[in-house]
This record gives sequence, C-alpha cells and structure tokens, in this order.
Amino acid sequence: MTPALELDALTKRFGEKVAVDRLDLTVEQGAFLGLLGRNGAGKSTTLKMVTGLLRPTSGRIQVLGMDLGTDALAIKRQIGAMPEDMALLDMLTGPQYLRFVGRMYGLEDAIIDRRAAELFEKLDLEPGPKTAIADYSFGMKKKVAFCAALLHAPRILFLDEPFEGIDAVTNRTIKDILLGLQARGVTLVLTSHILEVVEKLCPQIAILDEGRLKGAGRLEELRQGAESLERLFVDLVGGAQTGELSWL
Amino acid sequence: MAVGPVRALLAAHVQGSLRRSTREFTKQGVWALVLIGVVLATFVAVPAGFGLFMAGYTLAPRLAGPNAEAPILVLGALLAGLVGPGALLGALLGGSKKLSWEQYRAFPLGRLRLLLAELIAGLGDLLTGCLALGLLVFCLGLALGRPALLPLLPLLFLEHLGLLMVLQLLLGSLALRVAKRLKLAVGILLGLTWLASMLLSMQEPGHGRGLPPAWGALLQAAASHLLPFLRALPTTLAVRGLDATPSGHWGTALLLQLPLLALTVLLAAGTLRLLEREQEALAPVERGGKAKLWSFRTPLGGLARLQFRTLLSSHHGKFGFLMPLLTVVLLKGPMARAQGQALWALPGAFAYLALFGNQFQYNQFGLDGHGVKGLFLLPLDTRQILAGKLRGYALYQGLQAVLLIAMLVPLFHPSLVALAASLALAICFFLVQSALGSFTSGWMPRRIDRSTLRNNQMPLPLVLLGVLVSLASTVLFGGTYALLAWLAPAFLLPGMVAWAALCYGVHRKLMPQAATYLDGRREAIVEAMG
Repeated sequence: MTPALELDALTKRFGEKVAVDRLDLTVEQGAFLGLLGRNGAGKSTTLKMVTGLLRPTSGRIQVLGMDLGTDALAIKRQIGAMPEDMALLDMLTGPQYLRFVGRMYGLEDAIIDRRAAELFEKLDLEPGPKTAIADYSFGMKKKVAFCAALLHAPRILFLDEPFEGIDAVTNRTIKDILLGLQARGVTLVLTSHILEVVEKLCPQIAILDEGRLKGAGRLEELRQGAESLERLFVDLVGGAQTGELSWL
Repeated sequence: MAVGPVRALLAAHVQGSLRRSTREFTKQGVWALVLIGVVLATFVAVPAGFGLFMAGYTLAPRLAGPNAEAPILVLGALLAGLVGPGALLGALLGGSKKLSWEQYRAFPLGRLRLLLAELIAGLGDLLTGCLALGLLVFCLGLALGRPALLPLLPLLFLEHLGLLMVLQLLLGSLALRVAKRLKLAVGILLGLTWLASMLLSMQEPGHGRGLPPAWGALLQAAASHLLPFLRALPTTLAVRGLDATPSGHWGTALLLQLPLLALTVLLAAGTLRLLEREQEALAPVERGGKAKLWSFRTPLGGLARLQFRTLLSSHHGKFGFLMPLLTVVLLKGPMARAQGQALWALPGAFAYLALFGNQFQYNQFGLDGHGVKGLFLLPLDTRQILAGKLRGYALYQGLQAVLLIAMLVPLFHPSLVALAASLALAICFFLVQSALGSFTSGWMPRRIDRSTLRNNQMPLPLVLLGVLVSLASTVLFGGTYALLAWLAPAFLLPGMVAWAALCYGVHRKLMPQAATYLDGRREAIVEAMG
C-alpha cells in the first residue's frame, strides 16, 4: 500500500539556522504517529512543510503517493490540519467559520451544519451565537480549530499540540475521537509535549532533536527495556539537568 | 546593578520598539527616515526651537515692572498653546497607550509606576519629543534672558512637561474610545467636516482673501472676552509665580504653581481611571441573536464575502466609507474656486476616492492577520484567492463609489455620460491598484491591526510606490478624461470605457504571474502575518 506520508531528505533552513535537517520518515496509511521533540526541535516546522505552509529548502514530501510540490491542491483535499497557533479567521463566529471551511471543501450546507452541530456537542462547545472567534477563550479556539480539521473527513490528520489548553473532559473526548478515527483507517500525526498522552495514544513515535531524527518506529520496539517513554526520550535527546536552583 | 521597575519597563519598551522598527522598515527605510528627520530638523525643528528660545529670551526681562502684564499673558498663552494643542495633535497622531498593561499586570507593579512609565514612554513620539525639547529651549531662553528666574524654572519646565504628557495620554485614550464607537466617531467627523465645508465656502469670490467685515467685529468681541480667560489660565498663573521669585516672595511663587500642578494631578487620576476601564473592557462580549451563516455557490463567492467582511470588521475599512464625504467636502470647500472644476471635479473625486484603497490593495493579506494560514491550508490555489479578494475589494470600493455618486449628483448635477465615464475611470484606478497590489502583497506583506485606526503600517517603499502610481494613473486616466471632456465630449464615455477594458485585459494577463509570484512568497506572507 502507498504510504500516507513520505519525507525524503527534508530540510528547512531559516538563514543560518537549520530547523529540519535531512529528515527521512515514512508513515503508513492508518498509522498513528506521535512526533516528539524538545522546544525548537523542528516538529512544528515539519508539520508546516507537510501541510504546505512552509516551503522546504530541499528534499521531497509525498502524501498518499502525490508530490506536494506538484499536487498541493489534491493533497490538501485529503488532509486536515490543526496548526499550533490555530490560524482561525477570527472575525467570524465559530459556526460561520466552519460553514466557510466546509464550503471550501465543497460540502453541502446541510452536511456542514450537521457535522458542526455534532462536533460542537461532543466537544462541549457552546459559544455565544454572535460572539466572534477573536473573543473565544484559548481552549474554545483550539476546539474550533479541531472541528475545522475534521469537518471534511480527511484521510490524514496533522495535529500540532492538540491537547494544549484543553480541559480534562474534552481532552478525553478528543482522545476517543482520535482513536475512533484510527480504527476507521485515518492516518494521524500529532505533536505533543505531553509524553503520557503520546504513550497512551500513539503506537508509533518519531523523536526529533535539533532538526534531526533521533529515533523512529513502534514504541514497543524503541523502548527495548527502557521503563517509560520519558526515559527513552531523555536518553535519546539528552540534556537533562538536575532540578536544583541555586537561590531556592 | 539594580534597575528600578520604571526604568526596566521603559528599557523593555525601547528595545521592543527598536527591534520592531528595524524589522519593519528595513535598511533603506531607516535611511529614508533619517533623511526625512534631517530635513524636518533643519527646516522645522531648528527654526521653531530658535523662535521659542528668542521668545523666552526677549520676554523674560519684561516680566518685571509695571508693564509686566502683557508679557505674562503672552507667555502664559504661549505655554498653554505648546501644551494644549500640542498634546491634542500628539494624541491624534497616535499618542495613546504604548505599554502592554495587560502583560505587565502580572508583575508586582503599582498602578502609579505603570502610569509613570506610560507617560515617559509617550515622550518617544516624534511630536511630543519635539514639544518637550521646545519647552526646554524656551525655558533656557527665559533663564538666559533673566538669570534671576532660574531657581523656579526647573519646576516650571517639569510641570508643563508633565501636563503635556498627561494630556496627550488622556486625549489619545479618549480618541481611541471614540474611534472604537464608530457610529459616534463618524457622527463627530460628519459634523466637523460639514462645519469646515460651510466655513470654507462662506468666502464669496468677490470678497477676495480677507475676512468678511462681520468676522472682524466678531474677532474683536472674542478678544475682549479672552483676556479674563487668559489671566485665569494655570499656565499664566505659573508664569506670574515665576516673576515673584526675584523679589524673594517664594510663598507666592510656589502658591501660584499649585493650580497647574493640581490640574496635572487631576488629569493624571482621570487618565489612570480611563486606562483601567480599558482593561476591564477587554473581557469578551457575549452577544445575543444568531449570526447569519453564509452560503455561496463557489469558493470565489465565499472568499469575496470573507474579504468584504474582513474589511468591514476593521476600523480602517469602516473609515473608508467616510472618504466619499471627505471628497465632496474637499471639492465644495478648499477646491471650490479652482479653475475648470467642471472638467476635473468628477474624475478628481473618483481618483481621490481610489487613493484610500491603496493601503488595502497593496497589502491584500494585511487584514487577514494570522488567519492567512487558515486560508493557505484550504484546497484553494492562489489565483482563486486573488480573484476572491478582488471581488471583495470591488464590492467594497464599488459601494463607496455609489455613495460618492449619491452625494455628487445633488451638488454638481453631472450628466449621465460624465458619471459613467467617471465610473470607468474609477475602474481603471481600481484595476491598476489591484494588479500592482497582487505583487506588492507578497513583496512587502504587513499585518494591519483591525481594531485600531492608527497608521496602516505600509512600508515606506510601498507608500512611495503608491504615490507614484497614483500620480501616473491620475495623469494618464484623469488627463484623458479632461482632454476628452474638453476637446471631444462625444468620445468621453467610449474613450474611458476603452481604457477600462484595456486595464481589465492587462489585469487578467498579469494575474497568473502574480499568483506564481505569491506562491513563492507564501512563507513570507505567513511569517509577516504572525
């Protein structure tokens, strides 16, 4: 089967700084990959390149066998993305935004409204009917962005820090939704700093450090006796410091 | 070395402002600004400073003796003039809150410290900085003109500087509040522009440039009523106190400073309250009713509607609907007596209206802010996005044109042909702006704040380019209009329609290239929008 995502020597430079350095990664269809790394490791930059927001300095991105350089629009119809900063058109209300996004994917109004209502109910999202997204709380914005990423039933879902700023109950709902999607064959790639979440959700992980791939594969195989994902992560990226402060 | 909280706040503000300016202006922009600064300093600031110094120097010796009343009044009025209108002008030019209060509230800082830092930060505004320097030079003139005044001069300088800073912040915050209530702002502006146009058009051609006789009497009456007001001004009282120091009447001297100090403290308290209320007003607003959901057949329709909505949700966009009114006021007011108005009034009106569109057309993603990423994630190619935006802008500027026509018809009684030709001319302007803007939007993208009416932050090269292109378009299209209207009126409409058709053809030809260019600049746009 054609892989859902193939990155071939993917590199991104910002001036002198190399954010992503010759990254090779393959994600099979139906996989659930957790992309891990410290702050500035290159996770968000990788997702931005994969979703077409950033242009790679070199290397190749293939999504469902299509090249992002030449088939960007066809790829965008198949993927859903939730950037870390959500990137919402915040002058609209939540329902207006979802209607706009849904129509851009060619969905009928009735379908959009039905799906939006279901998502809002599941995520316990009840904004004021005329309140613009700009006035939503951080968590509410995150939920709207999540809804927008799912609305058109994508085959691959890219989520950048989806659990940040989300309450515990909704957190649980989102996890259930994601596991349900995986069961139905949707490919999922998410980044998170919360290792426990990744450990519970993602059978596969890839660890980035300073733009380079430090390890990738099935979590069970990578562990090789290590006690936890946290231990594995710290062993791979290094740099752990003692927790003592000189003035306290 | 320990640094006080106010100094730390100011240092953070200065560092942030400098970094932002360097990033936004680029090297050429900084050089251009330096050049403009040198020119302004040479031809405006230095002569004005010299004038203020000489005013202080020559008036200081006359403050003593039986004829001191007139110089005291003049000095009081001069200081009031520097502080009052100076602060108002500074406020209108953007002199409102500079520091991020919401961010600094997390620190253990008292409200007064924040206010003090805010006031000092206000001195960074070009105009306020110049006024403060002017005040200093003026006081130096006073000191050199009569050294006996020196002991109280630092207090005189500081209290006036304080009043200037407080007034500017207060007026700036009030102006921002008014601007946020756009209906009120539009009402005030309408009233002011109507008044201005009435006053300007009161000058009948037969009366030459002087004031009508009735005005002279009115001014004399006003002057006689003004003297008691001048005497009671806190600035005049402060100057009077200055005169008490050489004779050793320190009690009187200090007592006479009290009204000015009290006024400053009172205004500072009011300003603090206002700024705190602004903070409280930041809480999200829950609105009743239900927002209408959009439905559209094609993505283009949705993009056009989104663009139109984005424009209308911004203060700048709403302000655009005042432009037709301002255009008519200009034509009926200052330009009313210019020669050959019949030939140029209509094309001039549409050309002037089009000028306002520059800021949006040359920076088409500016109002999208970080939402531009959401737009780029959608399965839309850049040509679609450009075309959708073009439709949105066309609707926005088209509505303004309709408004302008509605005002021009009863005032100028233009013929249908002239109106149609003027509309064709407006279309030419619009298409030229749009074609060029499709490239400049990727070349120098800049975020436009939707919630303020401050400057639109167009980079200097874009401002200069906009002026050049507008001039060229005015010469080309406006010139054709005037020539045809003068020499061959029968060809006016076909001629202008031909120009519009040509512009449309060129626009269509350029769009694929613009889309390709923007594709290569998506990253720069995303980065610029935050």
